[in-house]
Formats: sequence, C-alpha cells, structure tokens
Amino acid sequence: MFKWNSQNSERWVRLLFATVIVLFPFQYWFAKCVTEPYPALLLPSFEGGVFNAAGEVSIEPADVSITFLGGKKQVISLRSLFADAPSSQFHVMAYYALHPKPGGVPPANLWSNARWKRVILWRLFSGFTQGKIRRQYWSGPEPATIEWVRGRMKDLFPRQTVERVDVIWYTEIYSKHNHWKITQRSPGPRVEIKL
Amino acid sequence: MADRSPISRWIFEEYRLGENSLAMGRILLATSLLAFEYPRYLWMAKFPESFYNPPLGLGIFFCQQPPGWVMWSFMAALTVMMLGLLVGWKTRVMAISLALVTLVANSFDYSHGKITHDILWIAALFFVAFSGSERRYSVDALKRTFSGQVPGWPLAMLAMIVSFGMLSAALPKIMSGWLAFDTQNVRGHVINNMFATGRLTWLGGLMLKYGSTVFWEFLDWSTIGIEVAFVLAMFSRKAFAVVCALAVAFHVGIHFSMDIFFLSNLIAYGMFVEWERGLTLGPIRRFMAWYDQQMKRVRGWMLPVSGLGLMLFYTTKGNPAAWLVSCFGDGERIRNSILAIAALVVAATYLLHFSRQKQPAGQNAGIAAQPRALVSSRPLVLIEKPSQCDRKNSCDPLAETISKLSRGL
Repeated sequence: MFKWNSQNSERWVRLLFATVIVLFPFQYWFAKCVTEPYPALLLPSFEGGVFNAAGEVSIEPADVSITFLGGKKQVISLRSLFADAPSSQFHVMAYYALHPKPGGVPPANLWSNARWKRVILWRLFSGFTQGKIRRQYWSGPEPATIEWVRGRMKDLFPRQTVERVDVIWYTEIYSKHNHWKITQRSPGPRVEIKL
Repeated sequence: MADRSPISRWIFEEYRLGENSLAMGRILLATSLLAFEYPRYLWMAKFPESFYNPPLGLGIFFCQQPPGWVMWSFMAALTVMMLGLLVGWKTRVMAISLALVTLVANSFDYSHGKITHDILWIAALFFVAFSGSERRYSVDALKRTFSGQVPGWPLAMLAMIVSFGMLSAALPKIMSGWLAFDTQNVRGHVINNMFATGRLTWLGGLMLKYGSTVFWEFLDWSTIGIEVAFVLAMFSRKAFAVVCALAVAFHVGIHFSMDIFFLSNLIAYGMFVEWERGLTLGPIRRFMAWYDQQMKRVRGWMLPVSGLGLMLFYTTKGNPAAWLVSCFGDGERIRNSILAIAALVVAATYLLHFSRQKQPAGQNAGIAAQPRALVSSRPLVLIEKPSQCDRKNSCDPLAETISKLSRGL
C-alpha cells in the first residue's frame, strides 16, 4: 500500500521537475509550429521580421474617419475607437474585426460536407471554428461589430449624428536613409460602415 | 543530507529562503496585484461576440465570451481570494484557487486575438502555495504551528519556470536574426510600437533620434544575453538573483521606451529577494510587527465584505493606484512608472550590496577562483566525499581534492 512520507514526496517533486523539463521543448515546438495554446510557458518573443528586404521597417496603422450628417468629417485614432480595450489588445482586435482578409468570403464547404464534422466543429469547438473564420476570411464587418461602432459613436459624439465610419489602413515605411522617419505612407484596405 | 546528489541539492536546498522573506514575498505579491494589476476582465462586457477569437485552450469550447456578470463574478472572487492571500487566511487554498480562476478568466481575456504573456505571476502563485509563506505574518500562523524547515523546491521550480520562459523569448529572437549585425531589431520594434500601436514615449523618441547603430546592436545582443543568462544562472540562487536584478533594469528600460510593463516578471523576480534583510531597518521592522498584530483581528467574514467594497471601487473608479495619480496625467502609465522605479531601486540596492560583499581571504582557490559573486554560498558539490572516508582512512586523493575544490574550501 502506498504511504506518503518525505522520501515519497521527494520522488514526486523530482518527477514534477522531470515533467517540466521534458514538456517544455515539446510545448515550445507546438507553439511555434502548430499554434500557440493558452496556457503555455511562453514569454513574448518580439521575433525579428519587422524589417523588409530593403532593410526598412514597414508597419500597418489605421485611422478612423467619421462623416457626420451634413458632410463634416473628423479623423480619430484607432486607440480612441477602442478606448475600452487594453492597450495591448486593441490593435489585434481591430485587425480581426475591421481588416479585410486575403481569404475572401468563407467557402460553403469550409468544414467539408460531412454532417458529423460540421456538428463537432460548430457545436463542440464553436470558438475555434468562429475564430478560424475571423482570422482567415472576410465578408465585411459583422452586424454585431457595426452595432458596437454605432454605440461607440454615440458615446464619443453624443450631440452629433454620425452617418458613416471608415476605417482606413495604411502601410507606413520607415527607412534608415531618412533617419528612421516616415518615408512612405500608402493607403491600404478601407472598411466602410454605414450607420 | 550530505549524501544528496548535486541535482537533489539544487532542487531541495539551494533555493531555501527564510520564513520571513517568503511571507513578505507573499504580501508583496498580493499587494502588487491588488494595487497594480486589478481590475481585469471587466472591459470584455463592452465588446460583442464578433471580437471573440480564442487561442487553443478553454475558450474554443465557447462561441463568445461569458456575459459581463460572469466576468464581474470572476473578478470579485479573485479580489476576495487575493485579500485572503494578503492576510494568509487558508493560504494554500487561496493561492491555488487564485491561480486556477485566473487561468480560466485569462482564457476568455486572451480570446480577443492576443495572449498577454503573464504566466509567471500565475507560476508565482503556485510557488506561494507550497513554499511555506504562511508560516509568518498570517492568520494561518496564529491557528497552527509549523515544524521542520521550509521546502526549497517550490522556489527552485519557479527559478526553472522563469528560466525556461525567458529561454522561450530568446530562442525565436536568435533564430530570426537578432544577432545579425546588419539589422537592429530593437529599433524596428520601437518604431512599430510607437507608430503602429501608438505607444509614444519620450525615451523611445530620444533613442530613435540619437541612437547610433552600435547602440541598437548592443541592445539586440544584451536583450538576448539577459534572457539566456537565466538558464545559465538557475543552478545558483545568488547568481539567479543577480540576473533577476539585471533583468529588472531591462524591463524598466522597455517600460520607459515602449510603454510595455512586465509586472508579471517583476512579481516573479520579487519571490527570490531576501526581503527579511529589510527587517534590519526600523520602519520596516515596526511596520511588519504592526502587520503581525493586525492578523489577530482578522475574521473570515471580513474578506468577502472588504473584497466586495474593493470591487465596488474597481467597478466605479478603476484601479486605485492609477486613480490616485490620474490627476497628473495618464494614471496607468504614471502608476507603472512609479513601480518600475521602485523595482529598479530595489535591484540596484541588491547589486550594490552584493558587489560590496567581501569574501574571507583564501577562499578563492582552484575551482572556487571563478567570480565568487556568481557562486552560491552553498555551491553545487561536483564529487561528494565518500562517507566511509575519514582522516585516518584516506580514499582516492584525486576525488578528495576535487571534492574539496568544488566545496570552495
């Protein structure tokens, strides 16, 4: 019969250390090659890749252009629109909800036509399925997002009527030849939300 | 315990801290989270399900984040439990529950596209649960007596987890070209952070304006250097503490240049500090004596009552520390800067104290001639003197010599 004593507990502690040592390389490989799970023993990597082939830094910020009733326009920052979100999250949230994806409209047979597969993916792993669609495909901003933008406009401009909100993405390039100041700002995708 | 192997000594003895230090570490952890980290999760109620995008984990079983009242309940439970941890009321249960509830709530928090890597303070909670931090300055200490030494393995485990975590940050950098001389990656990230994410900082602007290529390259290399140093130092508590102190300067630099505050790391490093050295200072000793006296007044019902009161403050005013300094500008940034400077002062004091430690003459010989500053007071013994050897019955002289040298004798 198993008896708990100091020798046994030390054995369990050693086993715990060994488990962490063995699992760490596996979870690192999984996070880098498959997908990053949560929770995982990982710290922010700040990987390279911010430089393009010409040795310049290319970033993708966005502006929010608001058109009021009567044609008057005002530009606010993405941060102002997402003031309720943590500063670490808002840019990624905006990217997934308000940035067109290269995949286009999700195909009808995205998860195969097998009924059981669709049931498992949509019922059991509904978050995973929704998340994958939001990360890879785009058929315009979702109705819930539009409703949220409408609410934000009422919060930000309570005395004015907002007709349209445009989220305009840019590609900005910073070059060392220009002392790391902006050298090029080209417009990227534009998402129109009519309210 | 002289017959233990070096690995066993590292696991069970190397990281054994004093009871006072462990208890003070627990109090600082709870205070830091209550004053600097909470409230969390409440913001999610302001966003619809169309922002829900979970990573692989608990979140994939749900099609949207839980309603606002659920997240509020999570936060209220965390606040009450954190107060329990602060006063050491059922410490182990509180610490484990806190870690588990935080993991669940974080799963939803990070289901909006980005994982904020704060796993270290959750690991620190598990350390607090098993380290014996309830033996002093706690309600538990009044209710029961503790016998035997505090275990050393929880802190050794935390050291290993911190080291592996830092290694997980270093490896992608090394593999993505941070060490190449033709790219300055820190510069790229500062630009990205300032202009794409909009975190404008005075120091970041100054660095971009005046920083030379050599300066940026130094930052690239030193970042990887400090991250890798943890794994190399984890077998000696003193060496590890020195690396933690240096890393504090690294994190403070990131805070002031990129406005990214690594509270989680600072909390984890704080667990390795011998806080009881502070008891030699009158005000700290008197405060801790007063704190100990207050534990006699704590009753179980006080925790939910004060927890809900604090939750009311969190819900209406936000974070108390940020609210207090918000009259001077961005409350969160000022609050984080104050904590960053405080952490830097503690780290600098430790390094200064450490560099002034004098070693007795004749100690630095043979293997021990390596910088004593980086060697623990109880170094790993490479070859143990066989137990049957004594002065009369001499054993293998080579083994004996190595044994002596590795002990630093």
